[in-house]
Amino acid sequence: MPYRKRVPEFQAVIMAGYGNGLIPLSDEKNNMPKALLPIVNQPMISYPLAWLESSGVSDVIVVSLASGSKKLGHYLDRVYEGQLHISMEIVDDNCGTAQALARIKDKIKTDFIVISCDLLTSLPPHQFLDMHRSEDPTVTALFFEPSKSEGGPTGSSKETEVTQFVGIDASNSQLVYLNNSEEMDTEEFSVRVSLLSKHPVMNITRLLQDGHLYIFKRWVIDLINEVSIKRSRASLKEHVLPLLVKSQHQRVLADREGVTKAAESLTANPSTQALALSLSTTQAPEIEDQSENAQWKSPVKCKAFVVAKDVYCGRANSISNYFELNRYYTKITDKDRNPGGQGQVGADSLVGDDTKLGDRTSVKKSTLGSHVTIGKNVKIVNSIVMDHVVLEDNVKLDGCIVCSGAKICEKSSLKDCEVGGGFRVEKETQARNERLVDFQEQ
Amino acid sequence: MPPKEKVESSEQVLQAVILADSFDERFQPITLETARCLLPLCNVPLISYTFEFLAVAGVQEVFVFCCSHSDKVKAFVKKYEKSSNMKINTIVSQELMSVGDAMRELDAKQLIDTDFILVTGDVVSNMKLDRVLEEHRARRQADKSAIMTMVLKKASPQHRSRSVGDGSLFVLDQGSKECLHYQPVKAFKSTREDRRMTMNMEIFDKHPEIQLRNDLIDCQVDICSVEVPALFTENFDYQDIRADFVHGILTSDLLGKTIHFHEVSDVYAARVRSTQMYDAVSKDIISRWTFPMVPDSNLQVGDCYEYRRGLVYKEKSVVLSRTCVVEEKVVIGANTQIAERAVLSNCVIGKNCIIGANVKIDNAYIWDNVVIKDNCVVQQSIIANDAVLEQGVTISKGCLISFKVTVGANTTVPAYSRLTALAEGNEDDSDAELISDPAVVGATGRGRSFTEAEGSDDEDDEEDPKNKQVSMLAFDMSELKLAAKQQEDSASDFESEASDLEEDLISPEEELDREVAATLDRAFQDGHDVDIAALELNTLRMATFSNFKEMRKRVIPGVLKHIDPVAKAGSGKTAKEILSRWGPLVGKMIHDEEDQVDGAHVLHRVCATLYRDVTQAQKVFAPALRYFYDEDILEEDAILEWYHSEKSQQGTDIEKKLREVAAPMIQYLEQSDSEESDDEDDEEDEDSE
Repeated sequence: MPYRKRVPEFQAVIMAGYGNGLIPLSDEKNNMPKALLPIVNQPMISYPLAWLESSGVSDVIVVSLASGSKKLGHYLDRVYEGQLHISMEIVDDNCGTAQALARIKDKIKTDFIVISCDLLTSLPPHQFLDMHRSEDPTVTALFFEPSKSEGGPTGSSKETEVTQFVGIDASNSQLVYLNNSEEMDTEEFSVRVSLLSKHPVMNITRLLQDGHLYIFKRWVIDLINEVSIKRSRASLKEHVLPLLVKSQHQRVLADREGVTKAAESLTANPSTQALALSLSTTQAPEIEDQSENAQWKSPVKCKAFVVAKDVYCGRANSISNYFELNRYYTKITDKDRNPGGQGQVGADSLVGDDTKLGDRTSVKKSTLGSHVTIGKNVKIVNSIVMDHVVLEDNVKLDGCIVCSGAKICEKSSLKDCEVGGGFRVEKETQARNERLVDFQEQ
Repeated sequence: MPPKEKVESSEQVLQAVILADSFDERFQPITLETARCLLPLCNVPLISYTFEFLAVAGVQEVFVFCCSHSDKVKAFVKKYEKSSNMKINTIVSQELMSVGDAMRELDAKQLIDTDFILVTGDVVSNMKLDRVLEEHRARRQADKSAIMTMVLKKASPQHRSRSVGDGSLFVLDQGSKECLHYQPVKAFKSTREDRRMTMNMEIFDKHPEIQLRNDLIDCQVDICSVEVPALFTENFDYQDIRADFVHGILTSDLLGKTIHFHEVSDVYAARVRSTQMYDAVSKDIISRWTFPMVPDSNLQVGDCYEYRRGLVYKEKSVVLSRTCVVEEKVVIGANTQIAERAVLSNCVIGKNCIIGANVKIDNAYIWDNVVIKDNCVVQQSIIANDAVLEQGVTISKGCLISFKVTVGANTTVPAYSRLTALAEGNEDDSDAELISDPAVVGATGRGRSFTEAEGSDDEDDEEDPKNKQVSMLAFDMSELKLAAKQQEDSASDFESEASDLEEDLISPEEELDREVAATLDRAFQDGHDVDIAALELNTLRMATFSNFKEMRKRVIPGVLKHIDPVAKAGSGKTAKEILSRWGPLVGKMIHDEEDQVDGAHVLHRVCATLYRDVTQAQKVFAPALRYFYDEDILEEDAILEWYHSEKSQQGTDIEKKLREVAAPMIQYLEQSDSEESDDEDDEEDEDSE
């Protein structure tokens, strides 16, 4: 049998962004890039990598911003142990997701999966991929209903979440409407009637969140390129996806924004197709209705995959979500490795390697990294403590995230705080709802 | 009659209210002489189906509200009651103008003391209501504010039993089974409001997940609580139960009432709201979708239909001649005689009819005692009782022939005619003499064509007449498209979503572009007067807050567009012919000298862009300029100013060449020299093609 180069079905692109919602945790200098933030002591990016590996994808491009690329590159090169063939691409720091993809467009050869490094889900990949395989849409997007937060540090919780209104045809799960509350009239909700005659049963919800997991047809990369030329900081979620959704019904828009053109360029050469048909003895000649009145058929079809309620799915794109994910994954992680010493570690907690607990220290509902030094009589509740942190005697942490290398001196008591990487909390500090970071970072 | 069903565990009597009047005029002129609910549907009065439906649901007491022809309804109900287990009361009130009035009357009379079923007198349905009633009662127990449950039937937007133009959009919460928003859908969506479904954003606060439905048939079967009539009394301006009441309740913050829905599928439910629906429902009954309500279950006392293959239903006493052909889907009533070689297909024929030889009846509804003589052809029409078609009459599709009309021999009744034998004027005045119209019913005929009373005080006035048309019997979509095309109504997006652009994207300028183009096309096609066209354009200008400059930019190309530079003289398309006819219209857009200069510029630019070829453009531009000069639309000074302006000297090659064409004329203007020669030049140019 001659050697034939295996053509992969999908290429995957992992977007490792900056993580604006995770400041100060994702600070490059003092802590680590977003993609490497630990979730149950594993770097965040290892979860989408594992997910992709189990989906059968072999070629993965990790797109990283320049700022975090060193540490991330090191991880992928040296630490990562999976089977995936990973290549890393570095783009400028001020780059939207669509722009970043446009930069690497020459590397995209097949239909491609775009996944964010902060997506964690227990959804079996084949369910999602099979939908794309069987329906053959232009794009398949994942939506999920975020689980309720149980409290904890909320970060700069003033940021009001932008609600997305997602409209899905109930009969074939076509994604037909997408809008977010920022762009919408605050008084009225309005949909064209013609849309409803095409999609007579349409579910509209504001509970669903975009999972930032998409499968695109190959030609969409040209469109992405087009869009990213037209506007700076173009994003997949905010520009490309809404454009595709609208192009399903709006011919003028599709033509104007180059959607039609991009779609046609990649479909089979029509002349060869016609030639083949004309030579066929079994195929009736296709009567093509070229008249103006012929129903316009959009080249675009968008599908939405909604994650079932009992399947976990979350995005670590804000501090509260990050915290929530940690809590959830701590709960389901195997805890055999926990040091049993003095029974101070609760069943819902996880303690990393080489971490030493002092006497009368208790850990509840928390995740502790490796090489953490903990003094005596320390209480840790509902918190995340990353690697190499030093907690001195009599420290109390409740609902805190302590970044790596930080030091909290004795008798400090922190509640709902974030402590930046390498920061030193002076002794007997009392803080609530504060962000304890080096001044110049702000 | 089906046996009376027991009402489950409810001590109270189940009551129903039938609104026998439809409060519209869709069946006129037939409904001038009888009540809508007594129209025979497959030879059974319409209201019988409703009674039957209620009887199956276990209703014990029925109130029938009627207004027009109440004596006839009363008589029928009296007769019907004898054979029924239900107690049927007729409530007559001549003042009823709408559903709202009927409900207020109901409240005033205090006839209802429990939850009741509200239906119209034209519902045909075989659904069972016990589940709905149970649900409604359970909901009422839990929450007193749930005042109404609508029964909605699932069917695709293009379903046959869905009345065209009577569609409705519902916004539902599938979790709580609550209806959140209601909006009617018109067939022709002429305004932006019609084309969009708009609801209050606040709905999302309480119901984060909603469902928009366009696939539900609303046959107006509602389970209402006693508050419903009271609410009608409180809100005395409510007329329609959907557009006013449901909408009002759902949008009101003060009332705090909720309306729920119950979705059914796999059952039949439809309302005979229009002649078109009459046709559709009749076919459904014949095709047995409404089982058990089919002709051979003999809803009426004395009926004895026999069901034969090919969906043919025939009374025992029917006399069929040996050579007549009864094709599929035919119902023939008692004592009807069908002569030799008659061909019947897809039709209903009433009692005691006489059908002559060689008659062809297709898709038609012939009521009782009709005489159709030899060689007649009847298509897709309704012919009411006692009508007579003399020999060789052709009834084209979509006709309504009312009671006792006689159509004279060898007359062809055009499509969509409506004939009545009632005297004109006051319809109640039976003494008035009928003046027959021989042009319509033939020399020996009896009847006149019926025209709807103008300016009826309904709100329908503002309604697009096309929306009325679509609900007519045998209404053909293809005709509709044709009509739409003729009118070049850019907004009519009946089924082509493709043309329905996102209106958000259309700037006012584009809108004006379209409107001007449409107006001009209309004017050209229908041969309007220049004055009328100018008036229309002016109205448009004011409506869009535009100015003459903008109008010129659009009108001049609009007119020039119709010039065919290669057309032969006499074809009506040469520059000269078009300009002499429509040039003055351009003149109406030009007033002072500034306008004139601008006009010349526009003309110049338009000619350059409209025609691909320089010579063609020249051939239009030269005569046009000349014409405007001759007619004093563009005066000498203006043309000169245009010619010498910098703007005209720049531009594309084609524009420059056009300017050169004007050179001789400019010369002439400047020197006031020989006029003849130029003129002839132009003429020759044209003729040489």
